[in-house]
Amino acid sequence: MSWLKIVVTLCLTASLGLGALGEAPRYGGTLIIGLGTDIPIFDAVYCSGIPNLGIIHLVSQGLTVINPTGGEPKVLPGLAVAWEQSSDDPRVWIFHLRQGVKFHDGTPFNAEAVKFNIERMIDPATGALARSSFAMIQAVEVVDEYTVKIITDVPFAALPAQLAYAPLAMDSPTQVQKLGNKNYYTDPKGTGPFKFVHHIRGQEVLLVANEEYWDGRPYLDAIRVKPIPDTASRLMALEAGDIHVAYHVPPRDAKRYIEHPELGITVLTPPPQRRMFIGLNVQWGPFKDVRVRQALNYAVDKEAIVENIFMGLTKPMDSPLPPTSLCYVPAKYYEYNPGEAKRLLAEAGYPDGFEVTLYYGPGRYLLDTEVVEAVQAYLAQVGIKVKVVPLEWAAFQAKLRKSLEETDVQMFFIGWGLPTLDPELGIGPFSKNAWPPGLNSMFYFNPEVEELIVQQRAATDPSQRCQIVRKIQELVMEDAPFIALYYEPQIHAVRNEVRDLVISVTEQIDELRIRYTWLEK
Amino acid sequence: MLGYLVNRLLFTVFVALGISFFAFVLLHFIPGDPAQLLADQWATKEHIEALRKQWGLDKPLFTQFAIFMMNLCRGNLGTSIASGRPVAQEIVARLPNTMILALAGTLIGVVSGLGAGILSGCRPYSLQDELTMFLALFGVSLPPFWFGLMLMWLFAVKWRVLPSSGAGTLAHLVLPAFTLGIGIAAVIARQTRASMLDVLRQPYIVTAYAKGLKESVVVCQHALRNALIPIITVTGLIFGRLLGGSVVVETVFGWPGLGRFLVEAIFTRDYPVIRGALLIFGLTFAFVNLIVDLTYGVIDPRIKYA
Repeated sequence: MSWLKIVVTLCLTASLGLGALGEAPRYGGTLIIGLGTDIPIFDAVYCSGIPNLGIIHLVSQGLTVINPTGGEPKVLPGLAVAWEQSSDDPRVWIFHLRQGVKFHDGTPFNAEAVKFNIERMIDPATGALARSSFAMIQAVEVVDEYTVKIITDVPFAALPAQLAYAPLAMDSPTQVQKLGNKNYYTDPKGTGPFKFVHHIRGQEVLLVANEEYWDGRPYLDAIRVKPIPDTASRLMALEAGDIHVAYHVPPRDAKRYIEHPELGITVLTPPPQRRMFIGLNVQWGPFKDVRVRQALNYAVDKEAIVENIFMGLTKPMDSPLPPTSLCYVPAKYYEYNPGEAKRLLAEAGYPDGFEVTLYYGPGRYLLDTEVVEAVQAYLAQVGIKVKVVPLEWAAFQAKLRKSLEETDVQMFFIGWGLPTLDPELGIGPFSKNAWPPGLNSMFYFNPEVEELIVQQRAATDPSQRCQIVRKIQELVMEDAPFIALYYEPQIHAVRNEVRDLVISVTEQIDELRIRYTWLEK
Repeated sequence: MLGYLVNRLLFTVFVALGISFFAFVLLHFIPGDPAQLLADQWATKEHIEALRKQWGLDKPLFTQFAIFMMNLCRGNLGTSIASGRPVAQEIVARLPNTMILALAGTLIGVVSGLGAGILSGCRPYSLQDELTMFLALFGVSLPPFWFGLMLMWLFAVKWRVLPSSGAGTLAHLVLPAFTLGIGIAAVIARQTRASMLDVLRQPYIVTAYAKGLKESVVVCQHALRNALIPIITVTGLIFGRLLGGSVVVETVFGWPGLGRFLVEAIFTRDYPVIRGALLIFGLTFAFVNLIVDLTYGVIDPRIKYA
């Protein structure tokens, strides 16, 4: 365990301890958050980008919320307080709603509102950006004022987790109908602890405390969100005190903040959920042979990458699911063994290696260029000559989404997030119906895995489901349609005067805890 | 004169149309699909196709261009794919910010560059001249990205006298305007010096001195006016380019300008925004060039526009 990890753990424990020392929270102050982009549109239905959606959720909340620690239970009550799958018909989930909640315009939050919002999301006429992630919902029925039935097309075990997915938020039906779908963003009304005031394009979003919030008036008076695209500028703004919160801090700067407490900045490291790997096109040349793919996994020293590039702030990838996911097991870890790699390559008929091209979109993921260069070097040691081709992100995406007939992709560096911490979205993409233009640019297909994915989706018993998912993880790791690297660490920084701020495993500010966040002075 | 103006304005319209067409065609040859980029990771093929249809991207290129031109004639620049707002509204929200920054930066650059350049021109090869030219070389070579960050660190983090980024008050304008201004000052200083040296060796300058005029009069009333034409050209070009938004400075300082907005739109392939912004830049640049040309006529009475 690296010294940095030890120090971070000590710091976190200390800060938790200090919080518990009974310093009384005070009301007042404006929290200033520095985001990497401007929020494109203040409406969850049309907005992309998890950090942006996280801000929107401070105003318009979700039915369920993912546990910010990534621990059990994975799904926590939000605006829905309890739920169960019907025993007669597993396609039906019944949700019991929080009572006594009002939207910012006074409209009551109830089953009708839930029906309205879910229908708004799944209706093709709305044009929601995340519509297909809720397409399994066939109908929503109002049972009584605070009870709602959601009916899916096939039994869907992951529904409560899926409803926590950020693009779905509860907005006031009255307001949506008044302003219309396309203009709702101008004056959104949710149930959240903060109310929307204004969005000056490119400059700031201003939110103020909701005095009538269902969990009590927040400690903070207001929240200001400023877009600061350049990372160095964002960190300087944090150090200057112009902002209180900065997301995605490079490990080197995090180390500086920890080593220099006089700078007055605390580093937060929520648990990871993004799997970082080098996808291998299993329909191309040498990669058709599983021995070659496994060889590549043995050839790369993931421990070294984690220790040296990420300063030990994360762990190597040993499953297609992140450790925070439901049903995660450490399925298979390919330890660093270049000898074994060479042996497998020779056995597969490539004793002298081969040439291959690796595409990636620099700047998207933390220290991606460093990782890609490390992988290139490791593979060179076993005779694989990797040509690294950096592409602008949009061009890279366009390449990845080409069909099998058109693609020229052999290897690519990518990260898959899992904001629901659920196997449905986590291992679902390892199937044929996720082939491009879907996520599965590895063109991976294992009929056994395919069948198991269908089974886990319908499983009504959680432990049985996890048994199925365990098998899937083991199969996928054995098939190695990728070089499994690491889970991307989440590193954020906040100024010391910010107390009780929780950034979730989903990378969003936790929408239930924000009401308890307070500023020291 | 009026005929000249009409001609130039017609030419500007022609240029604008050319830019639109060029941008339109070029954009579609660049790989990248806004529907893919905006829809979430797990979007199905059917959903992405539906989004493309919603944004009119499924139509043949020629039809799309025809729709764009028809809307343009009605003063409608289209709707942003990412934000759902009219492109015109998005541009209007940011263009003033870019103009303010461009004006402030150019003002700083012109005042300091002109001053330094005149002094250098009048005293070539003196200590002041060598120092100024050395600093000018520095200013031209310094990447605004690095220089901006250094200024930010010094004034915002270390001394905490200025805000690090954003806009809204005059204090927010200082650092980005200076970052821009230093580069401009360097270019203008060198150009001014060269122009002054050229003019100061002309026979009419010798005559002016022979008439017994003071140096300040010779320089300001006689030499400077004649030296100004190339300086104005350079300033005009710089300002016109800045109106396109200094992307680097806007990004470093989080300045809500048009340049940064255009670059972000390019990354997300927000075609309507890219088209609209490029059109505005082209028109603005052409307009600034027109002003520069007209200014020649004011400065140099020999130049007349038929």
